[in-house]
Amino acid sequence: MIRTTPWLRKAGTALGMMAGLVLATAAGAGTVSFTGQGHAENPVWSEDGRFVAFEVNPFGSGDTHMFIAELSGDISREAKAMTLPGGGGGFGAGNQVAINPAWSSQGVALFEGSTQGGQFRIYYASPTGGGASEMLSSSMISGNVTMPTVSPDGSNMAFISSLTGNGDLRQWNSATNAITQLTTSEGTEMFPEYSADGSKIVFTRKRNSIEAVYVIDIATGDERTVSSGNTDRSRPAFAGDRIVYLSQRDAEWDLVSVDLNGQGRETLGRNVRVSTHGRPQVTPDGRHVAFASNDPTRSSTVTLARVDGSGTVDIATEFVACGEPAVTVQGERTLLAFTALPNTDAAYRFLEVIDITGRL
Amino acid sequence: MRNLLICLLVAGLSTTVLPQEAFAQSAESRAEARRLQGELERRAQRGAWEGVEGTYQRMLALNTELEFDGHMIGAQAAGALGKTYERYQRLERALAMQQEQSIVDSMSAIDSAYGRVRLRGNPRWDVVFSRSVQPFIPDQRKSIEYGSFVLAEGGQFEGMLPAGEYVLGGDDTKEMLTFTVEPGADWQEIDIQRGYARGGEGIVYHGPIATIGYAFTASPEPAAPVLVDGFSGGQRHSAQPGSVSGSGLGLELGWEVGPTRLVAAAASLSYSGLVLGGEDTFHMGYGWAGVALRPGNLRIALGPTYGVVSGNGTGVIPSFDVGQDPGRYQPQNIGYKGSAWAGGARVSASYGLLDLEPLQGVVELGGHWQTDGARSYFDVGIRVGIVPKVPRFEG
Repeated sequence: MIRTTPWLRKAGTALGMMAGLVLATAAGAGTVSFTGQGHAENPVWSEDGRFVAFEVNPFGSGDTHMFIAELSGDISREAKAMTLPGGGGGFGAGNQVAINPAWSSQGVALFEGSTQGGQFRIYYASPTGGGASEMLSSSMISGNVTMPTVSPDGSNMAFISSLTGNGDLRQWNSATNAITQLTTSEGTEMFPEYSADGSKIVFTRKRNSIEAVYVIDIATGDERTVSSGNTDRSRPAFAGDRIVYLSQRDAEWDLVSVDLNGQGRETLGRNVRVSTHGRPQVTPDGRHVAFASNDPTRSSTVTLARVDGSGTVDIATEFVACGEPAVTVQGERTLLAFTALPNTDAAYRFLEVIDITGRL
Repeated sequence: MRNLLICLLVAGLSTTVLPQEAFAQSAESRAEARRLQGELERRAQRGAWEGVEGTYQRMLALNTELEFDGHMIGAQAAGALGKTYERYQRLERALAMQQEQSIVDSMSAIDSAYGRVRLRGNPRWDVVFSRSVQPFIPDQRKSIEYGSFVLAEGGQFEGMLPAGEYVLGGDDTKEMLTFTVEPGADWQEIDIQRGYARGGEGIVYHGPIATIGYAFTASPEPAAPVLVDGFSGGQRHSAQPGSVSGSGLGLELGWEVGPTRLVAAAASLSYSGLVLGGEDTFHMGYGWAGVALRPGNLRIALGPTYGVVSGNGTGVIPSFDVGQDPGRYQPQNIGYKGSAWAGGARVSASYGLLDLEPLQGVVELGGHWQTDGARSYFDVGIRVGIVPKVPRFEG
């Protein structure tokens, strides 16, 4: 196994780049190191801001690995690879795919994974190590189960099941250990996420090749359309009393927000960079959403937009092709994680964490 | 200790009088260890954690030198079955053999999420144990499930439980106690009161017994002439059938009641009989009451029987009507018909192969002997059927 870190890769680049790294490190936790080579993608913070889970995609091998790094003070410990049962922890063709991380309020990381080309199942792992275990056994639900998301109180987990062949939204309850089917449409449901009070789930449904955003009331089963049209709406997330999502415009994607009834549309960012798997990340207080732009002139900037459209804050970095920003609050500090390239010639994206306390 | 003494004895003998035997035993032991190690790995690959647990326990009992991987597999099995403390101990053993950060991390994760508790009660109490809020993590849920079952089965528990608030007793008990398990290495001791137990020391399980199958029935002719009271006050020879044997049907219907999970009382009515050809028949029907031992999937039942035997056929024992003209009264041509009451005993061993909750599908081997004082009656057979399933934690 080849061990490389973004630090080492960056050491071979321009001196100005090194200065940027030093600045970033001095301000916060710095670059997250991990064993192996690949693009760091889709960082998601734990609720307490201590841990960040992210994917590492070597591209070409078909694998994607899940890593979790602990951010303690100004130190980012080397990220630990989450090993699926029956899969290897290392980098090797056809070994394992682990994507779409989420966190429970109990501090457990969840993600979907597949080993040896088998079915996708939901796994959980302690961020301090010990390997991943299957969350829902095959006797509870068979087939592919993907895109886990946990209610804020930790009592329910929503996910997508392939059991009926269409991709339905289901919910597992920890008190009863029972699974309930929430949607029965002919479309394919994706990207579920709970509201802050756990009573609703926002999700998308793809039907007739068009993806639209919906909200379902869990108790009543009432479902309403938040946004639909002739182009795709995808990756929705609750942000306070609004919903943010990506809206396709020609070949580009805009980041927009609407209220829970789909009204009061605000465009928060144009031509935003879309994550392979992740959704726009909202700050813990629900007031800001982070994004990065595909515009080459803004590729070194991460933007935090107020979800009501009343303003933005730009965070300048020393890197290029910034993307997938995620903000957390760890004690008194506000931390921003994002992926980026150290320079335009770099082979792999890395994961950087910087302290942005006081910037919002 | 016993194994240690045997090892010391073998070691001593190997240097003195029995070097070949000792060598053979050692080689046998090594071969068994290899076999068990292979079994452990195969079962782990299939995810058959109950089987892995059994093999691991057997390896420990045989003093087999477990390797690092063996302990790690054992830890995985314990984790899958909710035996968190056992998992922790096996990780410790593995760590003692090979320093790996991932093991330290796993132990640290357990220490931070679980506490060590000793819940002391009476093994005969079926203690009600629950948690007000179920944890989200399956490992923790399984651990509570295991602890709850051990308590219900044996009235006490010693091990690890996820940190949080628990309740002893419930709606159907006299008292309730809430206690909190704190994470860490310190043991918490909690006395279990009789009031937290459900329904006292009553019935743990009960259910029907029904088996059907093949029976080989036999009754050898008596070794000595059998005399019965004659019509005129004297005695005459009984028209005892000659040796009778053959294959036929075996049936049993009954009920089993288990005050514990290991020992139960049972009673049944059984039949075994055969058609000997033509109109000759031989039937045995008897009642049985006894004890059923239920270790694991095994059921061993034994107890006394009493019943009736009836026969109708041709061919009596040669001693019948001694002195008569054998040319005119040939014993093999003399018919008999009658019945006798007989007492005896029966033993059977069955093994559960099918889970038919709340019953268990079994295959059974059984043997039965009884005598009417003049001759003996036997039947042995193999049957399939159902018995009540003993409620046990299955991981």
